[in-house]
Amino acid sequence: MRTLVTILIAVCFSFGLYAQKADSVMYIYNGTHGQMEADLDEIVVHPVCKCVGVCQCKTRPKDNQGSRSFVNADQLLKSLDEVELISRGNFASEPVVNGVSGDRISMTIDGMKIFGACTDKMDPISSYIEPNNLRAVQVQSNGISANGSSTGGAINFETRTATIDTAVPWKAQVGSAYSSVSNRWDKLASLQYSNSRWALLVNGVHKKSENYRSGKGEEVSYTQFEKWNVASSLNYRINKDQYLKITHLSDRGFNIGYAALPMDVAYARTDLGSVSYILYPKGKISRLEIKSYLNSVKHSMDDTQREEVFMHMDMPGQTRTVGAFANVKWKKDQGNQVLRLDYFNVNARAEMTMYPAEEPAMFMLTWPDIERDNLVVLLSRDVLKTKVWTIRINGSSKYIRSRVVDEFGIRQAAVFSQDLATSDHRLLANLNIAGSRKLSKGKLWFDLSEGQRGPTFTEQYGFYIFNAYDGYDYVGDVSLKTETSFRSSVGYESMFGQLKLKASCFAMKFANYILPIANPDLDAMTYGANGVKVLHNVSGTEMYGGNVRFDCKPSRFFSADLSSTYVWGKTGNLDPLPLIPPVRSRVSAKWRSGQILLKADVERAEAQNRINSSFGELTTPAYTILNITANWMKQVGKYQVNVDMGVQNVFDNYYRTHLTWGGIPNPGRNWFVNLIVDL
Amino acid sequence: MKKIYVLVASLAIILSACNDESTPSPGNDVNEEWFVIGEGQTDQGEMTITLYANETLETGYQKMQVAVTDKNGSFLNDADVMFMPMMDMGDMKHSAPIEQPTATSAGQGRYEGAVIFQMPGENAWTLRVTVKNPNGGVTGSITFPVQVAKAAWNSCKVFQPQDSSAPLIVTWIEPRNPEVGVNDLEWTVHKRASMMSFPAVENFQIAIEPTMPSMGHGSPNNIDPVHMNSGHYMGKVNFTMTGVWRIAYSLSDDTHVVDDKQYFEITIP
Repeated sequence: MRTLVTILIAVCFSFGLYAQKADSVMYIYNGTHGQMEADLDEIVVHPVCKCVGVCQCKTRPKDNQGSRSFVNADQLLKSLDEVELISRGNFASEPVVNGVSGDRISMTIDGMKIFGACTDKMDPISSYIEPNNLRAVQVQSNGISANGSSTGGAINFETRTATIDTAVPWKAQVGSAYSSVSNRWDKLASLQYSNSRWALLVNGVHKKSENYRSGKGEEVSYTQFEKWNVASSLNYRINKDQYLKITHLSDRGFNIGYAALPMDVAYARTDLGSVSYILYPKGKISRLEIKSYLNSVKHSMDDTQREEVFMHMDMPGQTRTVGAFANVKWKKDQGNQVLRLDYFNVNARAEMTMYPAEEPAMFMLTWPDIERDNLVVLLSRDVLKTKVWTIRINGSSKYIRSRVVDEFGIRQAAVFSQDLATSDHRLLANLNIAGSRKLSKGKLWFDLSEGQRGPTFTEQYGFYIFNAYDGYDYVGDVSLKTETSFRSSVGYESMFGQLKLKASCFAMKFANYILPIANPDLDAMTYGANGVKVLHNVSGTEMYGGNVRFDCKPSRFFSADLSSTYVWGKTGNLDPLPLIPPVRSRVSAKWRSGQILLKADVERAEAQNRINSSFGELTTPAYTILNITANWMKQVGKYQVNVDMGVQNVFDNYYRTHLTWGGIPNPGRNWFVNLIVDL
Repeated sequence: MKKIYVLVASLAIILSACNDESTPSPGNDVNEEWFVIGEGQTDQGEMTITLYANETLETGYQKMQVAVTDKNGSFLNDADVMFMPMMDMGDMKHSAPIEQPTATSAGQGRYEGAVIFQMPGENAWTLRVTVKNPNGGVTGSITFPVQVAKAAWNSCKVFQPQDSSAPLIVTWIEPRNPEVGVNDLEWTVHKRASMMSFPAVENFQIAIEPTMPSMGHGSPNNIDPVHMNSGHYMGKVNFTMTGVWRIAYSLSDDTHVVDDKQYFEITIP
């Protein structure tokens, strides 16, 4: 075993890496190179599919269903080895994949682009999706994916859609959950109707949480939240080859506390709708999908609940995205080929108004009404497909046009000698080659990627956007260069008797990495801020990391796994990259007997002392927590009852994760009960 | 803002149609924003002087025009025209900084100058216009009473500088309608040499510092106004957001700081 790891490390070195301990692996490797898939169905064997025609018929997992349905989407992501969360409170954490965060990850819902409307990243799109409506999550750590490309990876949330299933015309589910640490009550309900022609699925969830208590039993203020989410989908079968799908999602969050920030959120509203046409032709083309969509996000920050406010402030923001894409899949010489044409237009606008006593209000545009058009062409080809080898090439080209439509915003930026009156045009290219070779009891794979991304709204146009992490006001630069990443990774997976080993490591170099740098000549706008940082392109940013995972299943009653992930990053002059998670390890054991499943897992993070103090980072001590869950499932007459009970942070440890802002402690011991009944 | 301006202007035109005295001067190449605020004959030479100003006169820098015709009604384009404003405060009189009129490019006997009214006055200000007829050299003058209202915003600062030299008059001319972004800044500086003499100060270095008093922050990339001519200083002032801004300034000459305690306060809508 050790030899293998050593070989891997050696391979990593050959890619021009630093001497890092490459103890690393991938989580679930679902065939597509470089792509992890956290399929919610991973545990249970699928029952016989009763679909009519061609349809998705993966059922949801039976075990731990409650835990899965009631967690937040971000927490679900965290169960992936590569994913860590930046949290600013108890809600809407921002996923970080292999140490690469938000701006460098393309996030989509069913391939649809949607943008958070908060200038302070309080609403990553994972906060607008609920696991009870989620079928799968695809997380990819290279720069190119069918759903969107960037320099650091992609996350696509695949939602549940109505399934045409004549065998069971009506399906319903109700559930409720309670957590003691924050006195949180969640309720969910789901209903599906199907006949042979069409099917409709509606599901909804309501969550309400008070402030949680930390490991020392102290209440952590401003960690409350309340939200509801309703999603529906209609699947209409035109004939046996053609389908029409209409989906809708509405999400409303309100009174959301952000302990680490100076402001909370009064409301966060998302509405999303899509219409798609799917064709399964008889010829070489196996699938054609055309989809158009529209979504709107409105977000309003609020400081009226805070006690010591220097000056009352309103910070509303909104985004509106309209898009359409066409996806064609076909087979050629056993290989899969995908061509995708994707267009979307997004508008983003955010304002700030402050109300001084006895003076007129003070107003500025923090996102100056930005219009962005994106046009993407993507081609994915299996260039080699044999019994042993698969080699796939992905290439995409993206054209971005950005402009500012509000005169006020254009005048504002002139203060920094920036010309926003003319449009910004960019042409991006993303390229990836990945291959895997089957071994007798496993496989080897490699991935080489080049990824590009244009600047985000904040990076390009942000105007005095306060970042509570480092305490600086951020000012964008319209003329930022396109950021480019070069990533190489290798992985290995093999069975050794009952033991499965997976190991992988990666190296990443960036050109024109976009990083905020303090400008001492500029005056902070925000009261009490440390200064102003302007976004720059910097050279010499590098990241290395890896993951090791062991799975073993000695009997059908018992299974255990262990995983460990490490990431290291630096900017040009060897300064540590900020917000890099420390070594994180997890050990979990499952024991199953009849209708009962017991699970214990230990989560351990080492100390992170390699910090960048110019970003206000704090060192973070190591922590270990233990979670225990019991799941019981029983058929009671017509009903299937599923109960989860357990305790998280059993020893009530006081800890915080390194990516938690503002030194806010994580929740202490939490007793929880989830109940789900399938009717 | 522009809309309001147009609205006010058109409203004024409509109203003025009912009132002979403020009828805008006819003629194609004459600015419609000029309003007649006085008309009469000179004491000598039978010249007719029509005095124009922008709507209502207010404290601050005010451009004024006169039209001069001779006794035959012909425009006099090459006359020497002089302004002499006077404030009668009962126990004392004083004048104001002036920019003496010069012929406008429009011709038609029109001359444009400016007066900086340091204070408002109802029936207290007069403006004497003296004209030397180029044909024959007769000099005549006429005194118009002018009403100077208190401007909503104080664009004119009169103060005794810290170095105890003669009182200074610093006047904000541009931007008249400041907005968020980059604004052209134009100020004048005059000195009160005597109650009747207010020469332009041309040798100052001015440093400006805009801040928002309620927040304490400033704005970047301002350009200090530098002297152009006749006491006019031009630079750039930047406002990053709406609200109340304070533009503090220091004045110094080649040898020392004359004053660094003064400021303008302005609301950006």
